Amino acid sequence: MKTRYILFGIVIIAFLLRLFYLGKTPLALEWDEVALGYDAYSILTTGKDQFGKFLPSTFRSLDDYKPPIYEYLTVPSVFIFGLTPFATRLPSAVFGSLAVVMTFFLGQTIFSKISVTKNYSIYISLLSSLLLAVSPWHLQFSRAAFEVNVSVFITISAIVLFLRGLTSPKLFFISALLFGIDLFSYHSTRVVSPLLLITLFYLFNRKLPPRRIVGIFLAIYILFIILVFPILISKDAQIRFTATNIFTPGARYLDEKDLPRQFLQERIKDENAGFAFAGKIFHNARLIYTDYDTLKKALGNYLSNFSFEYLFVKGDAPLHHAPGFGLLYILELPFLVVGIVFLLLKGFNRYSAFTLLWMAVAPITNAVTREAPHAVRTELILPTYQLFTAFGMSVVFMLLQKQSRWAIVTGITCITFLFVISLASYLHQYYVHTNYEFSKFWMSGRKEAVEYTERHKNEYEKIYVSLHLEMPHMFWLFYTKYPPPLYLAQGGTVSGGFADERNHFDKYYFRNFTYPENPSEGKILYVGLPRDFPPGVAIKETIYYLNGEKAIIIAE
Amino acid sequence: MIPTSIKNIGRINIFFLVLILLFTLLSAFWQIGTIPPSAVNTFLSERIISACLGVFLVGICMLWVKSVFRKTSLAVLSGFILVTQPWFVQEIRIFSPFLYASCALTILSFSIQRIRSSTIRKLATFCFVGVIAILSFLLVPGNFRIPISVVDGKLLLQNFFSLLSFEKLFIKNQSFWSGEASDVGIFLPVLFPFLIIGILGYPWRKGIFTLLFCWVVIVSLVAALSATFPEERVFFLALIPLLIYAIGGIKRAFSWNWLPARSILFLGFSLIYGYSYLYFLHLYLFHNSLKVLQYLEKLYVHF
Repeated sequence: MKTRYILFGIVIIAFLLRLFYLGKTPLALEWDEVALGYDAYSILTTGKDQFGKFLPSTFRSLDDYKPPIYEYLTVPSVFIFGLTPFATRLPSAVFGSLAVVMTFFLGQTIFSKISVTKNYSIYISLLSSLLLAVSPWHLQFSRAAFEVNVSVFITISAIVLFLRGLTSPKLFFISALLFGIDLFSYHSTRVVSPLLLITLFYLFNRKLPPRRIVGIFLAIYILFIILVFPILISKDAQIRFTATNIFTPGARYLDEKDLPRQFLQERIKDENAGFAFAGKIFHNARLIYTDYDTLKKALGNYLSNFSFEYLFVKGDAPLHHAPGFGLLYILELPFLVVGIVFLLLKGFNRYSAFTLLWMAVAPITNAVTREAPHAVRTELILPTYQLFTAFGMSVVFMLLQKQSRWAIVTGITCITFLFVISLASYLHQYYVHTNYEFSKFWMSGRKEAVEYTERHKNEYEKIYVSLHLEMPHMFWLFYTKYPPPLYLAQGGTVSGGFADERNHFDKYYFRNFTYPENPSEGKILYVGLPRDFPPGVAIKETIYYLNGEKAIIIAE
Repeated sequence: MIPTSIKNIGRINIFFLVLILLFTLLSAFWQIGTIPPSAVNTFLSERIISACLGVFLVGICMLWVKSVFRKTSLAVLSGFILVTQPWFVQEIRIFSPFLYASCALTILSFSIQRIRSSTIRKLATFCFVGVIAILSFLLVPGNFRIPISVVDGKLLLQNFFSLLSFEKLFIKNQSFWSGEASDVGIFLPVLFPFLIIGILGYPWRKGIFTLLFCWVVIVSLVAALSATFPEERVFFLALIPLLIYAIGGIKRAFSWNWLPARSILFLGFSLIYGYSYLYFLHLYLFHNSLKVLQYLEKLYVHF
């Protein structure tokens, strides 16, 4: 009974931290968020996405072909609250809070099966869920529209139900359903989730339910694989992998090895010497994935996800953490280490082995992509850190229990005090400094620019919005709440590419321009970055970031 | 009269033994004058001596493996594995004083293991250590001529671990400055897991493995001191002991009782091994020969 109240209290904390000022901190929506929001709005009003595709199983969005779960979850939110930043971010906040609940059940399931933690499993589980509730990493993505956050909830639930379903067929089938749905939740999950499932089957092969039950589980899962398979093999959906993987050179990474080209050159040499067959066998383009230097880079990328600086000091990209903070509290480090070591030495069984393997498997997808470490692509590693940290704390508590009373009280008081200070410091950095220091990265200013152009658009024939604003058409669609039926009647989005100049609606044309354009086109309003305009231009409005830097210039 | 030892080998083993010796002869002698390309100062006779010693070394190695692991089939397999290792193939086809030293060391080690008399064993041990010391002194310019006080400990350790690194052993062997196949390692990559199993499975304190372990460590230290590091070939002397470890690893890996698993492992191993070896041959016979031809006239050391 007491456990329920404590858990309820933790969930309330989780909801409060995620819902408080949602939509206002961070200050603005970035391009993925506006795209998610507008697609949901479009589905709500027309049943089609911004490209006119009816109930798509994958959203072309910004030409990154997003998995569909988050968009469809946003539809009811937009229906209730309208197309607002709050509504767009709400699913992430709700499922982030629910993940805290599922973490409790996960902890219960795992720690109740480990002999050294059996008697304390409830407390460790409560501690794990509390740590996740206040986790900087989880909070950061629960307060913005990130698909991976919903994926974390689905993955945790699927695993909990699998483990509990070993003795309950109903839960086992629901687990199959969740594992299947997980394939549609996020890009990385399509690799990580099946690996986790294989690990579960391997580790618990002797505890599996009867063959008939397992057969039904596999049948349900295979059905989802069949549904996702066309997406996986389609060239469009592979664009995201092609653009981000380290085996093919990216457009902005000119110093990388051009492996396909190198292999081709070697094959040409062989063909010229009369060894065409040998060239096809030994210099086949499919073998670029065995290039040693690239694999070494992949290993480096993988290991970087466990680096101290990344996890505890400064995180990765500014969008992924609060200023001056890492992804985890530095105070968690000693308990994390103690937890892992003790689990290996004293509590090693299938359940703890699975948790360790989960931690090892989650960053695998980031190994073969650029920009490593990456907090978004590896968020599926949560809540393993919290589970180990909670276990480490319980170990320390067990050691303290053998000391004198004053030592126990002092120890617990100090640890609690330090944690409270850490949490307060994080919340201060997040709520006060994020908007001020990172407003540029959160693409603030677009909303104000949209409001200005909407107020004055009747004065102009056309409004040119520079592509240097990065996906400006999405921001204008979102903040003007442009009716999707009207938008689709005009052709909808032509392309989600950064450099595509074909998108337009109403009087808005999203293209680069050389100021001033041909005056015979009539009175034109220009919206762009400061560098888009020469000196002496007739500025109508200047929009600033919160740190005083010029963000957007509007001129005629 | 057929000697008992040969009678006990078995017909299949004899068949494979002959096959491997023929294969070794082919690997060593086929187009020996043109692959790698001959420079002005290349003497064919020196290459032929290396080739002959290479064939001889394969035989000694097989005998030694039989003596260590007491399995004829494993001994025959070891011959095949030795003759298909990239660095071995490259060394037996050029003038290689390191091959001479390797032969000497292998014979001495075999003697240490086989000969019962303690005096002769001591003498063989002394000769073993002496050979390494003399060869290091003669073959590696600058060795032991530098005062110990100026030896950079950090660099020595760095070089030492670099020699034993995965990259050097299985991916890129940059010992050759003459442009030989540096896109392959000392061994074929498929031997990596078996080398690990062998090192873990045969403790260094036990019998002949003490000698092998010390052999590898001493050679690595000497090679690490080389002034021309990483382009030094002294580390070739460690090829045979490392190969013995890998053979031990193969023995352990295939001692799994479950036949389906063993069959799958064998099939997988054979396919990957075959592909890796053919890939090396393609690189060595074609691509690297082209590379060497490009700057042949600039090479001043005969090979």
